[in-house]
Amino acid sequence: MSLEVNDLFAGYYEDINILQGVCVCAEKGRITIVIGANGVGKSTLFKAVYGFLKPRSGSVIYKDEDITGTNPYTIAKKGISYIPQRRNIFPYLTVEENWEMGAWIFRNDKNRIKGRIKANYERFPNLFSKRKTHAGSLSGGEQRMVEIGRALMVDPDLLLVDEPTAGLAPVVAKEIYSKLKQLNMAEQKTILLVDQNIRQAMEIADYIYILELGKNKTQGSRKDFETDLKAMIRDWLF
Amino acid sequence: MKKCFSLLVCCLMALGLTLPVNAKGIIKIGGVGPLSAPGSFESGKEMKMAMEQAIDEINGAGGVLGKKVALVFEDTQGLPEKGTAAMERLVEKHKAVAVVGEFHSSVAKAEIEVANRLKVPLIIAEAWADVITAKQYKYVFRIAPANSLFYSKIADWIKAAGFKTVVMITENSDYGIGVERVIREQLKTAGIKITSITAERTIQDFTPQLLRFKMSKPRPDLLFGIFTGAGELLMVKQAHEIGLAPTKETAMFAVGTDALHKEFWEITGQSGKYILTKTGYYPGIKFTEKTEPFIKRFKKKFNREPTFAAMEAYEAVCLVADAIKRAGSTDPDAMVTALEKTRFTGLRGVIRFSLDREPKYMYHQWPGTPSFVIQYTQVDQPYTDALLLWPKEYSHGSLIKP
Amino acid sequence: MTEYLILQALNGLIIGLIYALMALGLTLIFSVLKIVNFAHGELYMLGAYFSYYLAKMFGFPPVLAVLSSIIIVFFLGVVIEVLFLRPVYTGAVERKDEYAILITFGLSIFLQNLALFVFGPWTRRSPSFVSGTTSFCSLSISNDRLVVSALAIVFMVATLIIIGRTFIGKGLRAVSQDREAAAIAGINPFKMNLLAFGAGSALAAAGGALIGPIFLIFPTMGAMPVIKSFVIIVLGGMGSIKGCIIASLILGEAESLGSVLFPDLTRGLAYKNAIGLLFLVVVLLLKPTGLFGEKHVRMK
Repeated sequence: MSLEVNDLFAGYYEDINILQGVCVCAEKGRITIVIGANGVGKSTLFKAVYGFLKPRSGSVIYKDEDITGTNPYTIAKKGISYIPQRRNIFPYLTVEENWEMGAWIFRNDKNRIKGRIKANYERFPNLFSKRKTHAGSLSGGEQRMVEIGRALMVDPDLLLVDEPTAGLAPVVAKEIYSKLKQLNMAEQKTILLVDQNIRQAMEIADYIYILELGKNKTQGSRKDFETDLKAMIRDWLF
Repeated sequence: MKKCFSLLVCCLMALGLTLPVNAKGIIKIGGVGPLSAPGSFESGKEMKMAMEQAIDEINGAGGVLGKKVALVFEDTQGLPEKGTAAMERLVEKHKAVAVVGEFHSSVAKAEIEVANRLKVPLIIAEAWADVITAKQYKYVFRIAPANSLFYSKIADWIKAAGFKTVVMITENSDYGIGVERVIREQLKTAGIKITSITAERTIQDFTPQLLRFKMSKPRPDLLFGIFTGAGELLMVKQAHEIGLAPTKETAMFAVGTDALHKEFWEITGQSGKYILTKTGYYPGIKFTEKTEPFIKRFKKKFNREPTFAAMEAYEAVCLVADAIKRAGSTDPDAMVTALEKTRFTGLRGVIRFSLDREPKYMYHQWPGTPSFVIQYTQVDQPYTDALLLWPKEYSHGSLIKP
Repeated sequence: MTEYLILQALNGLIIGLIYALMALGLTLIFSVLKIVNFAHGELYMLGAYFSYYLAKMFGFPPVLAVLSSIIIVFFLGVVIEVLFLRPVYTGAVERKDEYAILITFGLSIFLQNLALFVFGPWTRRSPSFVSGTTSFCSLSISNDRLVVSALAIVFMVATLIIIGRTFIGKGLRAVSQDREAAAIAGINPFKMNLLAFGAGSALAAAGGALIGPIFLIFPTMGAMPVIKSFVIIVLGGMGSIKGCIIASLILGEAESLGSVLFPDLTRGLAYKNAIGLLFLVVVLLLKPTGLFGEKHVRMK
């Protein structure tokens, strides 16, 4: 088991818990997705896991280590990378500088940085020609690629990905999902994905959690859901 | 019997001890002056030192009317509104019987209004604007010279020394503008060509205008700086750096009191040599028998040469004590009557207050305030060793050109 | 006249360089900590005093005194950040912007009065770097001004290299552009705050220590330059380093040339400060984000 979230309670305001006892596990080498309607606490779950929000109770265990409430910049050193939903590139740094920042925790190891950047160009070949461009002036899809690349700089075992395709054109979205799948297949990355783009996310998922109002509603492997997926979507939309 | 006697002695002793204590109390004299920015705090500090010295000496000599005197000093920061507040606090909260001091004319202008309203005697020690006494308030006196009084004497020297083209740089304050007007009017009538420039008090770089003066034709033969504080020192330094003054062609006069402080030399160094300045005191001229001892005591206590601002502050406190003694009370009107009859031997002559109403600034003004033009002839020279140029009757020599 | 204008332009350049050092420090603090440091002028003043006393009392050579003073103020800045500004980022205070304004403003008044008390009211002057003057044709300029501008350029280039090329510098920029993303990348934002406030303070101190032999040292010496720095960072665009340097040089020249080209010669100096502000107003009317304003750091 890579990441275990047990019975997590967390919220932004006093007395109001967005997460009310969520349990999620990300199994090693798999893509696990967490889906649910708007406002059920999907993004909050990641914020609580990555230390931006202190959980009120419950625990976060990563590789048998309790990391509940640890600072984000400390968690980064443990081999977990986080790609939040909102744009979070450094807009006035170049693509390459953005990636260098991803390597902050081993910034004195120049060779390792070079190697990681080279690996990123292999993953995202079309960014090579734009390596000296300010990341802020790239297209939305390219910015996502830069972010994923930056998250991969530390060679993480676990990727937390929050709605990677929100606001992107369907073609670009498709490319991003295939990149994630590729990372999982070719590089054995464990991925925990929360998403609203259920149809496309389901396609790459191995295991699925469904949240409702801050609590687990149901869970299971993709096969379990394939049959009643349509019904589920209809439920949310209407 | 013996017991009775000793008891009596004890009683008498107790009485003797307690009687003066009962009658004691303290007479409070208020002090005002700048101790922090944006005021010229270096001068305010010096004035406060001198006032404290006066208080110590008065108390050492038994106080006034059998009571001790005490100084309550308020920092007026060079800001008129602080001056108003300070006056009100001194009179209403601290019950000061009279107030002395002040350095900035703009602040003094606010303070005289309070003195007039609250009916408390105020002796202005070192603010020069004509208007302070020209308002002819009953409770306001001044031992500092009025600008017109003092600078018409300086203008006399400029005329006598034969300057033809004079340039002036003036700070944008009541003091600066007042001095500038007196000098300009006096020189204009003598047919001297004048260019006059004003600048903010906080300005640090005079080089643009100094360079322009250097290049103008005919080149000015006197640069007259009407600045106080750091601005004055910077002007001296920069005029020398760009080779404008003091040079063979152009002399430089710096009127601010900072030119008399020993720190002047640390800042100006070589550029301070041959600078002309004014002072209200010059040693070697025997003013009164009090002058020498005061300077000795001041130097011993504070390790610096007192300027005339210190002397005025010292004298102002003494004048209040003297007036209370003669009036026999601290009643403000009685004190004013006593002050008007003052014939007090101060540090620079016998002080009296004029009752003339014309010229306007002469009312309650000490007309005898001395003024001297001096020139530094060496680096690190105390101003007391500088060459005395004016007034003519005391002069030790004439203007030296480098 | 041409000679005069050239020399005047040179003077403006020197003033502009000093402005730039100070404004660069303010920009650095603003972009990383997102607060306006009202005590910046006092750090400038302390830089000047430390350099003065190191040279006068301990006999340091002038350049060494300047460098030591910069280092001292760097650590002073670090201490100030830990003691007073930490609460802004740990969530200990509710209204962080107001808190930051009040705390730095209070610090400014406190340090000014502390200096008045400790160093005394008398104006001081640091020893010259190189005494004497250098002549160009009929005009001359003091050697101190030349040395000071050279040193100012050195400090500025060093700062630009550190911020632009080194990993630490890129980290500072990353934090300034997106605090959360920087934390995700493993950059400890608290350490970056410390570094930015220390370095910003050190830059102010560099300005003060360099100006010591030229414009004198007194407890309130920082009051005017800090206002100029505010003008500069708004003029250049809040948070823009390039804008900050260019705006400094423009302001230096505008004041220097403006005051001599002013139509009424006798009033030129009196309107010196107004010229810079007028320039600011015009720029803001035409371009509200400043010359090189970047949207992401605009104040809310």
